[in-house]
Amino acid sequence: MSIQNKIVLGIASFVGIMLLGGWLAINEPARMEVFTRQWDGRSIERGAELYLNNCTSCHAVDSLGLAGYAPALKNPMLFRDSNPGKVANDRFKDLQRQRNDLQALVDAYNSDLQQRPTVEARRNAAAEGSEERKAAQAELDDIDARIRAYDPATEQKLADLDVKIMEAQAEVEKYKAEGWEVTRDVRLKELNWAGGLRDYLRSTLISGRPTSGGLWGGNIMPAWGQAAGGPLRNDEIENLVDYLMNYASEAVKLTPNDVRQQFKIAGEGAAAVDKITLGRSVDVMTLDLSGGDPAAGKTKYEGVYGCVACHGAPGGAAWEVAPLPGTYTRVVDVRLKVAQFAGYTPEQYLAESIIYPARYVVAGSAVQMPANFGDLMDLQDLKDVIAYLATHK
Amino acid sequence: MSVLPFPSFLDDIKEKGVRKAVLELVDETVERITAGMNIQDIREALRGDPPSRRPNPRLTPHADAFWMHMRPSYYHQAVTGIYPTFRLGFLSTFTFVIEIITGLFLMIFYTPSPTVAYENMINIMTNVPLGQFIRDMHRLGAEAMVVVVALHTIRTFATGSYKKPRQFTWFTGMVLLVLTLFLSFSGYLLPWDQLAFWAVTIGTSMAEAAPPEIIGTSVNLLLRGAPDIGAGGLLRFYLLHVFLLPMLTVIFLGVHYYKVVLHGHSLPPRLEEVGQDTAKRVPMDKRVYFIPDVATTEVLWFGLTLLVMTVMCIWFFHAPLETHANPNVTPLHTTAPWYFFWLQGLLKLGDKILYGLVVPTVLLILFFIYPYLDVAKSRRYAHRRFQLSLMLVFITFMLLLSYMGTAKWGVQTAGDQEIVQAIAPMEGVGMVRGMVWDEWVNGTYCTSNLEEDHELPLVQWGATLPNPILLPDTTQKVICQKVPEGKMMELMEEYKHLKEKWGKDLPNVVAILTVTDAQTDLKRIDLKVMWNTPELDANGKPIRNADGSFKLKMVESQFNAKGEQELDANGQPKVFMVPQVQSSGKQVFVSRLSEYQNVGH
Amino acid sequence: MTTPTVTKGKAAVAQTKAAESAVAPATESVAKPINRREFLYYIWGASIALLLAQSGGAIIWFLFPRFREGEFGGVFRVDPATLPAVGAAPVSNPTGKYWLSHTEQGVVALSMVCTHLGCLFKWVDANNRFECPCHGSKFKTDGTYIEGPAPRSLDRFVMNVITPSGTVSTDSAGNPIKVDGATQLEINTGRKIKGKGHA
Repeated sequence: MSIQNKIVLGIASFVGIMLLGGWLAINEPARMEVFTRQWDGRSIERGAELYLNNCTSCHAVDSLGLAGYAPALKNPMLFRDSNPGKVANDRFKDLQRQRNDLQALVDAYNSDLQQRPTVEARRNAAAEGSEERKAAQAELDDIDARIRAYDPATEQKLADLDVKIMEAQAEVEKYKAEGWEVTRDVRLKELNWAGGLRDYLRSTLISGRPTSGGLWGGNIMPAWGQAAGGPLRNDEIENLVDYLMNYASEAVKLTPNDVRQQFKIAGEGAAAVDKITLGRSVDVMTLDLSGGDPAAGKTKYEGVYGCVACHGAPGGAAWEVAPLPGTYTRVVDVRLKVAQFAGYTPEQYLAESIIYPARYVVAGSAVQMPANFGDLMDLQDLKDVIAYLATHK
Repeated sequence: MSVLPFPSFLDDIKEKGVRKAVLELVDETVERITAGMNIQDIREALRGDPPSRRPNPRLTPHADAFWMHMRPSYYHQAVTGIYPTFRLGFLSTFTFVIEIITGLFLMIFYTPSPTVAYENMINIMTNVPLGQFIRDMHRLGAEAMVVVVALHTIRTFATGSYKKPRQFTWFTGMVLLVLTLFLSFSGYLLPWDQLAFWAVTIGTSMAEAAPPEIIGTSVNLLLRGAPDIGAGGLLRFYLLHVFLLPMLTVIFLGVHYYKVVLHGHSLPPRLEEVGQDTAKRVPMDKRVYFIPDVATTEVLWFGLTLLVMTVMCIWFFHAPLETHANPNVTPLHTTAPWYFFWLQGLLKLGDKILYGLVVPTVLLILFFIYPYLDVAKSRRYAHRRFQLSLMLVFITFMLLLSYMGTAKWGVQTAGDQEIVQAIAPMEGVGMVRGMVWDEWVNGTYCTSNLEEDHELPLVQWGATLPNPILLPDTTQKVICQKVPEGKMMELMEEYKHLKEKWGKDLPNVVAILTVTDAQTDLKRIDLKVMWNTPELDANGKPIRNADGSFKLKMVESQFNAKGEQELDANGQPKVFMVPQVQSSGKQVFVSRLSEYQNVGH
Repeated sequence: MTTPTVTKGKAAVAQTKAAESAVAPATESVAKPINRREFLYYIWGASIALLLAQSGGAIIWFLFPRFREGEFGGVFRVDPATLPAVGAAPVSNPTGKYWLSHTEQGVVALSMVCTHLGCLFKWVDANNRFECPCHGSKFKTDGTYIEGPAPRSLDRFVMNVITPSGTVSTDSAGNPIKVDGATQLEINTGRKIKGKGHA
C-alpha cells in the first residue's frame, strides 16, 4: 500500500473514531438512565427471591402477614402518610370538644337566667347601703353583664355543630368498618421514627426485633443483617428494601381489613381508651372541677401522667419544682395572693398550672413542666388529680 | 551592543528584524523538541523527499531523544509488510497501553473492598458517563491482549525467530506471556460477581494443590490473604493487578524489546542463508526509515485497531456482570475465562495435581528452554517440518482441551436441573428472563400438551410440599392451559425441546411453567419439572423393562392412582402401591424494568 | 505491502547530492510548495488533534463526579408540610448541609458552612440568629450578615419551588421564595449562590 493510501486510511480511521465517539456521547445520558432502571429492576428481583426464601414463613407469600406471627408488609399503615380513620376521629373529637364548650356557654346562660330573680330578690331584701346589698348588687351586675354578653346565635351554632358531628361520626364509622384503628397513627409516626421509610425497613431488616418476643408469643424476628449477626449482606438487605418499597402503589390502596395481621406496639394490651381530651386551648375557668376522686387521682399522679417523677412522692421534694407536701395550703396562702390570680379558686389555679404551666413561673425557676397535658387528660383525669392534690394540705 | 545589559533574544530582533528572528526562534525550538529535526527536515520527511543535509536529521531523534531511543531508526524492507510479523509485537504493546489507560480511568471509580466493589461496578455502568464503554474497552483489550500475545508467540515459533542469537528474547517473551495471563486472571476477580469469585476460587485452589503441601497452602494463603477469598484476597489481587504485575510487565517488556532492536527483527527465513543472521546488517537499499515511513504505518495501525475496538465495544462486545459474589452458592456451569478453558479441560481428565499442575508446569518449562534445546541452525520451513508439525499438534491439542473445558462438556447434573438451567440459568439471561414483558400471559402451561387445556398427567397425591410452595400446587389436580400464540408458544416449545433433550432418563417427565404476578411490574415464574422416579441399578442408571419402558419405583400411598382414598374392611385407609412422583424446579422473578431482552447479558 | 519506490529512487540520488552538498551548509532553504503527501499528513495530524481534543472533553466528562438525589452535591426533595412556620426556628438537614429558614419573604436554603473559614455555625434560639462557634460570626435568620469576621452573608442553595401553576426558581441574588400552595421543594446542593458581601 502506498504511503498516500496509508495516510488516507489513517485519516479515515481517526475521523471514524471521532464520529463513533460523538455518537456514543450523544446516546450516553439516555443509556445511563436505562441502565439505572434496569439494575433497579434486578435489585427488586433479587429482593423477591430473598423474600420468598426467608420471609414467607412469618410474613406470608403475599406479604399480608400471618396472624400471631408477623405483621403485613403490604400494609397501608406502613406506606400511607396518615391514618384516615384517625384523622376522621380526631376531627370528630375536636368537633365534640367545640360542642362541649358551646354547651357550657348555653348552660351558664340558662343558669344565670334562672338565678337572676333569686339574686335580685336578695338584693331587694337587703337594707339600703348595707354590705349585703352591695354584694348582691355586684352579683346581679355580674349576672346582667354575662346575660348581655351572651351570643343569641349560640344555640343555632350548637345545632349546626350537631349536624357536623353526626357526619363526622358517620365517617369515623365508615373507616372503622374498613378496619382502621382510629386511635393509632401510621407506623412511622406511631414509633416517632425520625428517618424515612427505607431507613425504617433497612434498620428493621438488619437488627430484627430482638425484644418484641413478648408481643408475639415468643416469635422473635431474627436479625438478618451480617452487621447484627445475621446471614444477609448489605447489598442483599438493600435488595429486600427495594422489593418491599415496590409494594407502595398497591399498599396505599388497601384497607386494614385486607391484611391478616397489623403492627403491634409495646404497651398494647392496656385498653386504649378513646377519651375526649381537654385540648390545649380550653378555658379552665369554665370547667367544673368538683367531684374528683382523690384515690384515682393518686393512681394517675403516680402512674400514667408521671407527675411523681418531678414533683416527688409524698414526703420528698424533687428539683426546683412545687413539692407535693402542703400543696393546697401553699396555693391558698401564697399563690392566690399573686395579682394574676385574683378571683381564682384553688382548684382553678391548679387546673391552670397543669394545662398551662408557662402562664406563671415562680421567680427563679425555669419552665420545665410539659405543656401537653391538655392533649393527654380528659376532664375526669383533671378532676381526680386536683382532688388528690387537694388532700395535701 | 546588546539591547539589554546581557545578550538576549532582543539582539536577534535588532539584527534581523522581528519576523526573521521569530521564525528562527520557532525553527530552533522545533529542532530542540524533536531532538534534531527542524521545520524543513520535518517537511522533507512528510513530502517524501530525501534529507537535504548530513548527518541525516531523521536519525538524530533515535540517537538523542529519550522516547525514540529504543525504536530502531530503520527497518529492513522485508519486515515492513504484514508478513512475517503480522505486526503482532506492535499490537501486543498497543493492547497493553490501552489496558493501562482504561485501567487508570476505572481505578478512579473503584475500591477493592467486598462491601463496595460490586456497587462500584454498577455505578460505573449506570452513573459514570462513558463508564460502560471504558469498562468494555478494558475487558476487550484484556482478551485481545491474550489473543495477540498468543498469536505472537506462535508466529515467533513458526518463523524460528527464537533461534540464536534470540534465545533470551524468546525467554523474556515467555515471561511476558505468563504475565499477560496473570494480569488477565487477577483483573478477573475485581468486579466481585459470581463469575469472578468462583473462577478465581478454582484458580487459586489449583495453586493450593501444588505439592508439597506446605508450598501449596502457603501460595494459597499468600494469594488469598485467608483460607478462602474475601476482603484480603480482593485487595491482594487488586494490588497484583494494578501494581506488581504491570511493573514486572514493563520491566520485562523493556528487556524484551531492547533485545529485539539489538538483534533486529528477524527476516523471513527464505531470505537468509541457513545459519546466517543478517537482520542487523541492512544494506542501504533495503532500509526503510522509521521517520517517516514506519512511523506512518504504526500510527495507521493504531488508528485502525482503535477503530475496530471502538466499533466492537459500542455494538458487539459488552463485559458481563453477574449477581453479587456469594461464597455460599456456586452457580451451575461455572466456567473459567476462555483463555483458561484448556486448563479446565485438562482438569476433567483426571487427577488435579497431575493434569492441573504437573502437565502445565512441565509444558511451560519446556517452552521457556526450547530455544536452548532446538539448536538447529536453519529457520527455513522446509527444514523444520517436525517442529512445525509439533506446533500444529500442540495448537490442536489446546483447542480440543479448550472445548472440553467449556461449561457444558462433561459436567452434567441431573436431567431435571439441566432442563431448568437451560431455560432459566442461575447466571445470565436465558429465554425466560429474555421474554418481552408485554407478551407474558399469566397461567399454568405444561409441556404435556401445548395446544389445548388439559389435566396435568402427574399428581403428587397426599404429599407435603416444602414451603415456599413451588407452583402449581401438585398435591391436587392441576389444569394446564392452552399456550397463547407468539412468544409464549416459542418459550414453551423450547421448554418442551429441552425436556426431551435432557429428560431421557426421567420417565413420563413433564415440564411446567406458571406465570403469576408477585407485585406491580414483577412477574413470578415457577419452573417445575415432574416425573416418575425410575428404579436405578447399582450404577445409578435407570432400569428398563423388556419392552423398553422404564421400571418405575413404587411406593406406598393412601391415595390410588386416581387420587381416591378407600377404606378397607376394618375402616382403616387402604394402602396402595403407586408409582412415585417427584418434582423439582425453582422460581424466577422478572421485573418490567430489567429489559433483559435488550441487555443481552 | 509494496515498498515506497519513490524514496528508493530518490535515496540513491540523494546520496550523491548529499555527498556534494556535504560541505555547503543547508541553512539557505528554498521554501518548497506543499505537495499532496505533505498535505495529507497535515490533514491526518489535524484529525488526530481533533480526536485528542474530543478525548480530552470525554475524559473531563467521565471524571466529573455526579450526585444522585439525596446525596450532598445533588438534589434534595422537601415536602412543604415539613417546612418551619413563618418566623419559626429554621430546620436543618445534615446530609444536605443546609438550613431551611422561613421568613416573611419566603423560604431560603442556607448553606451550613460559615462564609468565614468553613466551620458549621449553630442556630441560637435565645438570640434568634445563627452564630458560628469558631470565630463568632453572626447571621440573621435569612442569612444576612450581622457581625463578625465573615466577609459576606450566608451562601444559598438554588431552590425550585414546584406549584400546580408552575415552578419558581431562586433568582441570581438568591432571594427567598414564597411557598404558598407549593407541592414540592427541590434544593440543589450542587449549585450555590454566594451571599452578599458587607461593606
